[in-house]
Amino acid sequence: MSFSPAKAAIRFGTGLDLRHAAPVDPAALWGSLKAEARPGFAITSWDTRREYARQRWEVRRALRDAPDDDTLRADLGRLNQTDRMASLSDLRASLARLSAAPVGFHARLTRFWANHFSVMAQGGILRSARASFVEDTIQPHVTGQFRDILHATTLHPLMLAYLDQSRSVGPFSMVGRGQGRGLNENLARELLELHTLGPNGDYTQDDVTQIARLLTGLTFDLENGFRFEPRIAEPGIIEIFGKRYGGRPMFVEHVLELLDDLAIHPDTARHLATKLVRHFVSDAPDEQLVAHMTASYLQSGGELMALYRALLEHPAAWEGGPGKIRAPMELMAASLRALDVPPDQIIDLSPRVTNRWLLMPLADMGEPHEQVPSPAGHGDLAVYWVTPQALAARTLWTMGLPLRLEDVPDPRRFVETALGGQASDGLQFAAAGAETRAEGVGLVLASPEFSRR
Amino acid sequence: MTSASLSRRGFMGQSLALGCSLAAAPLVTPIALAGAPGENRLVVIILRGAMDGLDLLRPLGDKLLPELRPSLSGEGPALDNYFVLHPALDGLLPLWQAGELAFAPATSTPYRDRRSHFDGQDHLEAGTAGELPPALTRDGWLNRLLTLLPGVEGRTAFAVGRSRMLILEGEAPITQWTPGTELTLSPQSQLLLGRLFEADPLFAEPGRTALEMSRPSEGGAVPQDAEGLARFVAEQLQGETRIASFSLTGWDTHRAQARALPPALAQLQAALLGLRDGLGPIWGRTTVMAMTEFGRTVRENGTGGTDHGTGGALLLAGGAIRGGRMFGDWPGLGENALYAGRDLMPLRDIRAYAAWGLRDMFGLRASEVSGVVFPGLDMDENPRLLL
Repeated sequence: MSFSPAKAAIRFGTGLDLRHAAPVDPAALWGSLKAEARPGFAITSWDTRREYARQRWEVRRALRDAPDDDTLRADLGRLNQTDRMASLSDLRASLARLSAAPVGFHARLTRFWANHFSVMAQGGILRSARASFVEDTIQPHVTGQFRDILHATTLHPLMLAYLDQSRSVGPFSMVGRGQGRGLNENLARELLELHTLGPNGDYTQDDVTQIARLLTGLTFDLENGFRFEPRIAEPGIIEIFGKRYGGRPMFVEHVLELLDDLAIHPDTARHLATKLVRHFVSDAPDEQLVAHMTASYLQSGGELMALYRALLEHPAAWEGGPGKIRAPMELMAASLRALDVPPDQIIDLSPRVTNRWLLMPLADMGEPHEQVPSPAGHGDLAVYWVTPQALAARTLWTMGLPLRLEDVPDPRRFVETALGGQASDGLQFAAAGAETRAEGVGLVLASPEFSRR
Repeated sequence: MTSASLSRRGFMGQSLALGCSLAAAPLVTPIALAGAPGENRLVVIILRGAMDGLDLLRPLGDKLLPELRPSLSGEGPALDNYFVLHPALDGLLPLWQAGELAFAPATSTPYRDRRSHFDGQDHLEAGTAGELPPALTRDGWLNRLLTLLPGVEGRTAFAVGRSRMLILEGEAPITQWTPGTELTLSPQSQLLLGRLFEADPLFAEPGRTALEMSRPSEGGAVPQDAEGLARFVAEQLQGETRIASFSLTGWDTHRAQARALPPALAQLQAALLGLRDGLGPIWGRTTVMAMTEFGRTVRENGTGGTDHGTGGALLLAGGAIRGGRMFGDWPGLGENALYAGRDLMPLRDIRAYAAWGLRDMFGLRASEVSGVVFPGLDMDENPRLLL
């Protein structure tokens, strides 16, 4: 088993269709990253989400003084509704991007890093800001340096809120001494365990605590977004992995310096390589492939393009059958592109249809829009997406899709398009043996073979 | 091979068939079910949003109540000479009289002072104390219980729900299901799809379960309310399932609580009665625990509601419990008895009640429960919740 264009499109991209040629070699697949770095279909900006949150905060404050003011209650309802509509629009745009991308490797990597830096808004003032977070912190840097993503995600208000960093106060800072408040180690711990060195990385609880001390000062407000607040920042030199950081005065640059060092730590390189291979290639990452990627990444000084090239150029990336499972959004996108549904029509779906036909099914399939299960993100083993509930939801959606089309293709030809000529005899038999065209096409999309990548 | 001449396949009018029916239960979120050996059944209901224990169970015997809660201190079915049930729960009085209903009126998790729903629910479901240790934030105490029981299986250990039940997440196998997920496939499609699933080892077993469970129910009756949900759970508990968990919402009553709370209480009552009716003789081997992330303020606020507090009530039901009584002490409502001058003082960790219940229900050693299920918990004395 080795490279084939169909394998490139299915394993690393968002699937096959009649409109786009699959990448002819690994270099073409790698080259698609720069070409597809600026997708269309706008996502709500973080500044807009922040402004909604600011207004919500103001209305709520006013409501505390006048709880029965109907005008204020109506304002609050309108704000919530605006946020909800923007969230549905972001869902349509995300799906359109996945299905319209000529190859889709860039879009897949964006999803990979979004899951690596797993955050969500937890209700209250801030709502549905995950898509905006990804658009701001990850999308622009997918082909850049890892430290660029690490800077952007670590300082983002949504991360600071989700992992409690904005509540963390240096015990010897001005505020800490005055009010007796202290450290919250959540972000420091996840920064090491999840974002950089990994669970097998070489660090101790003491390193977590030292990093938590250095991270104090990172906070945000709804007027301006991210802010470094010296009054909560722990003063003094802080030693981490044998290097001295910080000092007076306290600056955000001290934190960025640590992030730069963590980004090119050998354990980080290995952690990122292992996760990429597990996500794209196999539940059991090939040791040589991981070693090759780790070395290339470190040699490049943390260039993500070098990491991706090392992945694609190694024969182990192309071995084996499709051992991974398309996540729910990827299944939807692959189905829509295989059926040649125009992306504009996805964008044009009404809020009601978006809700019932995209939002709710995604939740049932296990990938609810704007939500993450934990700071560790979704699981990355094939079995994660294959539960009875999720399979029922996948079947419901895929069998229903052809019923929505004006013109259903012949299942016997469609099975060739969708699987790149690799469909098993059993699947070809099912496609040909269905009672109607719509059922035949639905069975292809609902089949385990189409779910695999 | 780009072919711009290809005609795109558009959608038909948006009003057209959304495919199959998929019923959402508005007040009811998730159910999780897990199989375990033995004959005893456990149902844990998570009341999300902070249920007001002082309104569920009104301490009318305390003369301060009408002053503290002017609109929330009316009469209700009397349980003893101190507590009355909220009037919306009058259907539960027979359970109390039969010894199948009990309360721990002043309890809580160890979570204090921040009063966030999300953090509070995480603490309740993770079953850990203080800052959650990293290894424990990602599994729930019911799942850790499963790891102690022999013969827990994948097919029978299944979970049902649209959103997340951290309480059952973890290493031990469970499955999820949302009642009302129905696939209307033609017999031919059903057959063909079944074969496709069987051909792939990863899909074979979950595929079988999916096709079986999503068969449209006869007469089109899809459980959409708490009672239907409870009956669905009861059906599973009559089979191989031994442990089930689901949640009920609608408890966050910041304003006009006298109007806002009864619908949620009605759901809770319907769920309990639905379980009893659906379980039949098995009700006698069943323990139900309904718990919430924290209680609500002792004083009514300016808008006829209550705000996030600390201590609250644990509700126990089932034929297996030593019911018709209150477990634990009562702190009173006097100014000095309150937590932080505003909340009901919790007198015992809610995990201690759960821990002793699990020990007696599943024949575990107390050291196993305090070591694995609720690490570091001081279980103290056995309240003897079960008969």
